[in-house]
Amino acid sequence: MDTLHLLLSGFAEALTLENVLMAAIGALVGTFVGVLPGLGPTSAIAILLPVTAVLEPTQGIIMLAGIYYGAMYGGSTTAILLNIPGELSSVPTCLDGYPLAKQGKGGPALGISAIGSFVAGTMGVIGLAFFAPVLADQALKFGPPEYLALMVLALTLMVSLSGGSFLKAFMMGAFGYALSLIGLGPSTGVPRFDYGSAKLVGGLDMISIIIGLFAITEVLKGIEEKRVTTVIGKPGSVYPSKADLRESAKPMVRGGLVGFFLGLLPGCSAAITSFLAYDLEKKVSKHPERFGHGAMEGVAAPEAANNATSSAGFIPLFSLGIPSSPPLAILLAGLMIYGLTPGPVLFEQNSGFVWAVIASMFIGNAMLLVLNLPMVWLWVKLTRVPYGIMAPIILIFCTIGAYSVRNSMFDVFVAFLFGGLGYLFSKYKWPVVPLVLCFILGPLLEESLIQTTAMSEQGLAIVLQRPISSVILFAAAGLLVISLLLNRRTQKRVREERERGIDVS
Amino acid sequence: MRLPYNMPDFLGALLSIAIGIAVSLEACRLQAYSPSTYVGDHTLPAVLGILLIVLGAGLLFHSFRDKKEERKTDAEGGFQRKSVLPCLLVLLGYGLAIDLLGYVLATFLASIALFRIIGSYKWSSSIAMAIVLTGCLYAVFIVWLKIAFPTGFFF
Repeated sequence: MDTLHLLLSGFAEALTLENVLMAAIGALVGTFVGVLPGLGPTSAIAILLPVTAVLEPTQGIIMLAGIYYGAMYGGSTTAILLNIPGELSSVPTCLDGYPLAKQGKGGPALGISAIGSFVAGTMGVIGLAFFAPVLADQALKFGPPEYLALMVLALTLMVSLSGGSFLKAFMMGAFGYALSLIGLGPSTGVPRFDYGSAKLVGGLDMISIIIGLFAITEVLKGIEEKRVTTVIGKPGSVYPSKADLRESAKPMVRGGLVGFFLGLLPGCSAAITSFLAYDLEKKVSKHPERFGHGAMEGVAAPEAANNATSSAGFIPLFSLGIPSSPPLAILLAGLMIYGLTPGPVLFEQNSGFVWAVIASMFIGNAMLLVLNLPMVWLWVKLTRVPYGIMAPIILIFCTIGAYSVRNSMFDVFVAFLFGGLGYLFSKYKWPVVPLVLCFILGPLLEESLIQTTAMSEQGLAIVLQRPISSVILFAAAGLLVISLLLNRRTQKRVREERERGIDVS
Repeated sequence: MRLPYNMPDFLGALLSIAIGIAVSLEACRLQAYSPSTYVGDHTLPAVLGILLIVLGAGLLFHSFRDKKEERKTDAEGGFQRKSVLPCLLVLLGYGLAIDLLGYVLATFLASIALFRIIGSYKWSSSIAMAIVLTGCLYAVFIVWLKIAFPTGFFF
């Protein structure tokens, strides 16, 4: 009952006129950036994150939720209408979404995608409400060794975020941790890695790094690829017929369940679950030969799985502080701007705020149905704004974003520097998400490492002696194996689809 | 001496080793401030320094073996001189100009340059679009949201 009461109070907070307006603006802007070819949800959130920083906390988070779901939906739109998946997780949507668009059924496919997202998102909110009290009860038992074990668990994410080379992923992770060390030392207060510069004593701002690595890099890549506007055919009515809905209902539920339960595991990305859901649907279908040629189930299942995984990802994010996908890593940074540090005590210390956030996720998701779906044709038209106009606007916008967090020109230069670095990283296939993840988790890792070693004469062995921390460590080992196997399978599928001509950006 | 098959990875590995050495040296410096030999602000830097050196050495070794990677990266080439590099230089100049000329003037000038470089628009179109963009940003961020940007020497 307590949970229900808290959820309702969260809705009461999130449903004021101003907050609903923020959710609407977030969903609209998020969709707009998400539909720009080549920009996926991660880049969209990175570009728009600083805008929310000028708002008051609740409004900022609500707008962020709208941006998140809007950008996700925008990514699906380009996958269906243009055959351009913004992220790996949208590849399965292309397989049947694009053939449907070519048959003039792009509108209903977009409709099914939005309904699937809403259904899966709702499942995520219910799941979060169900798991939250259980985790909150465990919260007080967490000490430094448990946090340290959690940080080790977070390292299993490197497998799914590696993009192929584990060695490079771990190097980028170590580089991210090293960057997080810049500034004052936590135990002595002595400046580290400042090399006599007063600007470095305050450390590097994570938003500047994120803007550089995702937003500026994305624009530079677009310039290099000479992106142009793409003319998209009319998608038709976005409201699916009764037959379409009947066809898609079961795949939606199956995809949602696959996505939700696998999404609970840190390290199991939306790319893994959307491919699994697509393949499962193909296996259970009476007409598997229709898949790849425009089967509505081929859109419904992966889209539901994708969104269910994203929603389920909030559970490890809120309860353990571990983001299981790149967009969630950026969202984690967004939450931290407002002094909200996800982790085991989050529900204890900031329950009002957290429930408002959960409710706003639901509202952000609902906005897709009531606002974005009827306006899909407008989004399609807006994508015709030439890249030569869009790119300078985004770059100037990034400058404001990097500056506005701490009113510091130093942060602007950091964003530009990481923009250039990100371009090179992307060019030579060095994964940037491990860097961001480790940069965000670095301070917590260091604090828990120092405190754990100081707690016992046996040093780090204490982590294996305490029940919760040892269970987390064993879970980390198990997850590592599962992630390795599932990732190998997903990479194989991606290779197959690339060979078939899907342009995975 | 045999050249590495994968030059970008080779350079990345060398950079990782260099960063690892710098981090290790900083860990040694910090150790002097810590009351304990093993626990303190130097612990994580020491671990990371070693890790970066070891991983860098691993990649260095790998860059001499992986022939497949070479073909991929060679084909991709370096910075696209015609577009990306000038764009980065404009951004750098923009960052420097904000402090000197103030946000509004610097944004106006940088926008013109970016519209010219990225979109290849005519001077007149670039100036017109830069006026609209700067005006909108001024209205939203300075007038409405009241963000305090540098005003520069002229104002």
